[in-house]
Amino acid sequence: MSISSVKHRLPHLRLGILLLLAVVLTACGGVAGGSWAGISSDLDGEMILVSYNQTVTALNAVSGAVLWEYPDEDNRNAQFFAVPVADNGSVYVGDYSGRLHAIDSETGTALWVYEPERETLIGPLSPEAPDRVISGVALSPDLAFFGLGSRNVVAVSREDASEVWTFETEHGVWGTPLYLDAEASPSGEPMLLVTSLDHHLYALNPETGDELWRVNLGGAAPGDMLADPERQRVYVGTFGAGVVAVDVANAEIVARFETEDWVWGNPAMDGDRLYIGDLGGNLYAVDITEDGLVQDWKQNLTTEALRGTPLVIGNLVIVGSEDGRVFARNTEDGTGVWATNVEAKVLTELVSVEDEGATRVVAGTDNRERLIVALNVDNGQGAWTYGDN
Amino acid sequence: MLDLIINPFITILLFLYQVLGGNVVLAIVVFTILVRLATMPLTLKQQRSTKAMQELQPELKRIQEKYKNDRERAAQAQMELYRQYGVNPLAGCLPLLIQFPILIGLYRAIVATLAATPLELLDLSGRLWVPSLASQVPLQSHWLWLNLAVPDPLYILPVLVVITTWLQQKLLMPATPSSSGGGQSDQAAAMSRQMMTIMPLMFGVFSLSFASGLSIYFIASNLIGIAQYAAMGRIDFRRLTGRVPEEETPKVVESEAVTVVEDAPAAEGTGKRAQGKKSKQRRADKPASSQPKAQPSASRPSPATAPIVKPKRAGIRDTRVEPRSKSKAKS
Repeated sequence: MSISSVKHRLPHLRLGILLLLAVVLTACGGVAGGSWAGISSDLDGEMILVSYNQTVTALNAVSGAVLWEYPDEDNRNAQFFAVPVADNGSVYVGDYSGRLHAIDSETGTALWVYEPERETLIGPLSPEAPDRVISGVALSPDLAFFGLGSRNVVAVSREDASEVWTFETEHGVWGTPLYLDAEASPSGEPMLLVTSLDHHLYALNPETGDELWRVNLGGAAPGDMLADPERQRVYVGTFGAGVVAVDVANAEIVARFETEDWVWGNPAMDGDRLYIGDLGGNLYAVDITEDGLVQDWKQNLTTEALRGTPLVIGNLVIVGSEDGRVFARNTEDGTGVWATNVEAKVLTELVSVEDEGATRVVAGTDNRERLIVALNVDNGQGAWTYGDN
Repeated sequence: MLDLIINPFITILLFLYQVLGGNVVLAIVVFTILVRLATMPLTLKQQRSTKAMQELQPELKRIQEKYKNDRERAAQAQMELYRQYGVNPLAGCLPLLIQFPILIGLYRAIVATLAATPLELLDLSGRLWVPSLASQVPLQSHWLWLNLAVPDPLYILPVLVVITTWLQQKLLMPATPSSSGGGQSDQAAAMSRQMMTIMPLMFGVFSLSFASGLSIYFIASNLIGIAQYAAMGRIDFRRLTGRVPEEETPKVVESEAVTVVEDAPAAEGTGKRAQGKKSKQRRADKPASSQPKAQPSASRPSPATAPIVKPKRAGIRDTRVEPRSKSKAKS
């Protein structure tokens, strides 16, 4: 092709470049929904609940067989990535349209759906963009509490899905709120704790949504909290400010553990020890002492993120990584016991289930064909998988 | 590879957000100005090249007509023309190609720092060149009625994106000469006009589906681009109405005609000089309305009378501001 013929194609070339730009920009938009699967187990450990894309699926914890899917095929008009929470015969899960669904845990049918009211201007036009529920759900006997991707915390009645109150933070609430009942709360009154990407930990009155106090954590807190009722503390992972221990009785930070990289998942606790994974691939064992949070050991497992909360089973601490591996380390010194490559990013929380004396760890991946994998805790070998195939 | 662009962009954006008091829109606007300034040499080069190509259009058209039955020789003559005037027909695309990764980097930086979804926020980790900027993550996404991390539900920003993109193109793109003879030049002109429609719509569609923070960037970039060129005196707002006065249309004066000497048939002339005269005469007979509507400029003293003198192998320099005597000497 001569340069002169190229000249006549210049506008075509420019258009081509722009279209290429369009394709690349669209491709850069990320995977559908922009999140990983939410997984949890029911209270009995008999059922694994998976929220991913258009469905919430209940799996038999032992075999991985599908028990039910929600919603049915004709009504799949929502995206689910938040962690489902099972309680008292119901499963609560938020979707990427800002709605909260209550599902019968036996049948997988809808009990109710809460949909936030949106102010409209002209026709369907609303100044409020549809919101996302990224967080899990905290439950009191009467209310369900969840955060919204934009900045609100919402309380709805578990009975009839009516909205009881909303509380506005200054950024997204992605972590699951933590409900402390009267017994667990240091004040003797129930308390709702909420972390926000605005760097704060909020304490709210769960009945009214009134703010009781707030603490600046020093960094965004996208993950869940770990309650330590014995010390009347919560532990929160942050971006850039390590893991923070907050005394909920006095509303103050009492300890901080600096990590090399950001911490998304909450720590796992085993006695007086915390296990923390960071987004730089480091796993830490930290002792809770009167002098604060003191590192016992640290292992760099990978250069990719350890996003989820570590899982402690016996003398193993197990964690999934963004580079597709699940690591089991000895709790005493962090030495490797086994590592299994599941060949897809493991960004979800890990869940343990029992099967006739054998323990399995269940992890979610970003591979639709192997969306859920169950591994034997003893050796890391696969027990079953669940996916599109 | 793109990380080399995305990571510093993210760091700069967060730094601006920090020093500008946590105002995300201001940070995006200042960021856009900085990127515009940094890429200005490329943009100018692209503009000059496009303009130079436009100014060669009559000559190219004549070559096409002359060798309409011999594509090979037409191509040779065109190449000779480009060589003679130091114009690279690809030069208009090259800056666009170079800006391509910059645009992608900008897009990724804005999307990552606003972080509407967990994967976007996760993608932000490990990208900061200044770790202390982690305290700014993620950017405050609420501004006026907007959540900048998601598309504008009122569709105001997408509409503004379409309008400002169209406006910028209309004002900055050199006018495309219409041709009565048809052929490739007409196709190119038609394609340019299509681009004028497609591009704004394309960016409008982006804005419908992407974070409105990105729409803020598109709008800021367009307005800053217009302001930038207006400050340089390269914009004639009369183009918005589609009316550039006839008397301001510059005349094209050739310094030397272009011909293909090798294998030239006897009927076309016996030598370079003879054919040059012939070509020149034919051009003088052309009506003024068939001359290209070159982009007028406020900085030029008298575009109505200043002829375009094509410099011989002098790159794509516009010599219309040079004294007439010098131009004549060149001719």
